[in-house]
Formats: sequence, structure tokens, C-alpha cells
Amino acid sequence: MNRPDDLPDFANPPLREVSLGIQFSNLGAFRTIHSGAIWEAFRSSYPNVEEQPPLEPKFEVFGRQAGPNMPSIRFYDAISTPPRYWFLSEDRRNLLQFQSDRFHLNWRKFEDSTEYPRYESLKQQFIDSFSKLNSAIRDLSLGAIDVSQCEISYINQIYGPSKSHGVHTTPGRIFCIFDDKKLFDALKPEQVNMSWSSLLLREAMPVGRLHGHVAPQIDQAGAQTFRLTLTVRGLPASPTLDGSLDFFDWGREIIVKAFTNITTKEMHQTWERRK
Amino acid sequence: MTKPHIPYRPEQQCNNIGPGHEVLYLSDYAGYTEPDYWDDHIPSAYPAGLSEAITRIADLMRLPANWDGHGGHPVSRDAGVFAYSLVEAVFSTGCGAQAQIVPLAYGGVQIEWHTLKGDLEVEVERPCRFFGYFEDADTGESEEFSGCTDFARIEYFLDRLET
Repeated sequence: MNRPDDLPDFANPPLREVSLGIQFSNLGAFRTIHSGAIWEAFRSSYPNVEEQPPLEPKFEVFGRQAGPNMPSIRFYDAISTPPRYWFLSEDRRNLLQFQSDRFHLNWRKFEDSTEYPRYESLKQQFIDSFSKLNSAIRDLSLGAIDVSQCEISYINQIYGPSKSHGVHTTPGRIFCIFDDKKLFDALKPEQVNMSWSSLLLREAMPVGRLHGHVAPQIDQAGAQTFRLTLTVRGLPASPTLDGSLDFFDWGREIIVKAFTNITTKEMHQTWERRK
Repeated sequence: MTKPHIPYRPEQQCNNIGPGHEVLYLSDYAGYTEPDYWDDHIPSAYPAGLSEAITRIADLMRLPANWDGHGGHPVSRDAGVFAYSLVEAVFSTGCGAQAQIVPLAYGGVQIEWHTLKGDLEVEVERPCRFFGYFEDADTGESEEFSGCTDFARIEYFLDRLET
């Protein structure tokens, strides 16, 4: 698994979390009692377990117009939706999330000294974990994993050029998209939030979207930061592991290029851009 | 599933920048933002056609097992949510007919539009897999089609049903 030659590369990216996930047709035969056997498949590397509320199915669909941005609706299911399970590594940095129609692998950075293990390593972890999950589901006669949506997310915690520098009022130093001095001098914003989505095509057909979100934050020491979340979600070319991995590779390239395009050269130096 | 208490929404959290606020991880909220509404509390200002579709799909998800006396399953949660995504996405087309939504015994759902100009039926077998059938009442012309997440063909036929 080689890194594409044309992909920007940073020695010290501001990543805080990376997630690779799939959504699949609901395993209708899955019951809460099966969760112990599934955890057993991961327990040696993920000895901690927690229960979380289940994630709602989410689909990138394409009509004539962009999404109408309607209020979100959740279908209330009083009986049948089992929880989402978190399987956590000893240091809680690595996380597997499983529910009857989803499987996500998350890497999380807790200390500044932790080095990002890189996408290729996380992808291999996903392959290994998927294989274990697939075996467990087969052994339990729960059906087959039929992938309907894939999702890859990068969440960044971005400080200004120096950590002591307040960045919430000068987002243009970090993001090219806010680099309009005239506008910012006129508005003098106290803080800035931004969300957007971009349609993604493959062979001229819509298959997914890039969702971006920029939000101001304060870290635990009180320093101002921005959180930049980039997610690519959509339909894999095939409902299999191979289709999912192909989607992750594609989504990762889109995210890394988008990250590079919307951030400033000054910050690229801070993050030690190599390519 | 009980309606859970969710401590924040990312959109609100963005404004919550007071000192001491902890860094949030994607895994803490990914995909689980608090919904604006639950299916049983749709606001009156919501478009009537969508509100009816939500109520109907929610009812179909709660069908009892063997609802048809022949071992029928209730509409599966993921097929129901996907079916609603479809209805919402094509809602802005010119067809004024209300979508009729019916359960299928295996847990799928069928969405139908009927006007004087013809009929359109879309079967959602499971998420990201649908099959359609269109028949023009004037010419007798008919067409079968299928798709995943792109509803352009459905919108094309809905335009032809416009009364």
C-alpha cells in the first residue's frame, strides 16, 4: 500500500482523530446476546467495552437539487435497535465501534507527543478487524456484511502559528477560505464557523459527498484552536471489503487535498510539509 | 431504543468555547447528533407530504411480526430510513401526487405515485438498492429500471406524472 506520488504529505499534521467506517444492511438476526461473542474476537487487543446509543443509518443520496437541508428526523424504535458497542484498547486510543449495521475503526490522539500512525497502517488495522468481524458474524450465522455506505473522517485540532496567539479572530492565518482582509476588517468577527458539502463524482456519476466543518474551540489549557473536520461518505463500487478499501483510498486523497487547499502556506510550514 | 439524553450538538458546541472545554473526538458524536425532531413530534410547519411519509414509514417499522398472516416482517429500520431519504430527495419534483408507501413481506418497502398520466412504483429492497416500474397511461409505454443512490430516473418519471 504505497502513498500516491501526488498526494501532499506533512511530517507533523494536526490530526486529532481518524475514522474508517462502513454501514451495511442490518444484520436482522443480531441480538444483544451476540455482542459478547463478537467482542471476544477483538478482546485481546481491545480489552475494554462500553455501550453507546446506536447511530442512525445515514445515506448520501442524489436528487436534482442539492439537499433541501430539512430538519433532521429520527425514527423512534422502542424495541428492536441494539446499542452500539465500543471496543477500546488498553490506552483507549484505538477504538472499534460495532452495531448491527455499522463498523468503524477510530484512532485518537490524546497526547501531543503521540505520532499519527498514518493512513496505510490504519487501513491495515481495518482489514484485520473486518476479517475478524466477518468470521464472528459467519460463526454466529448472522448473515453477511453487505456494505451500503463507506465513510472516512479526519478531525484536526489546529492552533495558530504560535500556541499563544489567539486565532479565533484571525482565521485567515490558518484557512485560505477566510483570507479576505477587507471582509474581516469590516466584520471584525468574534468567531467564525463554517460548514459545507461538495458533490463527489466517479465516472461522471454522483457517489458521495465531502463534508467540511470548521469550528472554534478552546483546548484544556485555554488556548484558542480551530477544529477542522473533513468527512467523505458515499457508495462503494462494490458492497465488499475490497469496495470499501477502494472507497477509503479515494476518500483519503480527497480529504488530504482538500485540507491542503483550504489551509495556508504559513501553516504548511508549521506542519512540516514534505511534499 | 429509548430516546436518549444527548448532552450537546456539534453545531451548538461550536459556540461553546468557554475555558476548560474539553476537546471533543469524532467518535463522541459521529453520526449521532441530536435529531431536530422525532418521528412522533413533527412540527406543523413541516411539509405535509413529508410529514405523512414519516408517520407512515414509522408505522410500518412498528408492524408486528406476521402482520400479513403469512409470516411478514415489519419494514426494516435501514430500508425505512433509506426510503424516507428517497421520498425527501424527490419531494421537490413537479409531481403533485402524494407518495403511497406500502410494506413488503420480506421487510422492504414500496413507494408508489399514481396520477391520471400514469403510475410509478419503486421497490426499496434494502438500503441503496431499488427497482422501479413506470407506465404511461396515455401511450401504454412502460419501463423497468433500477438504481442505488442516484434518483435522477425517478425524478424524470415523476415529472412525466405531473398533473
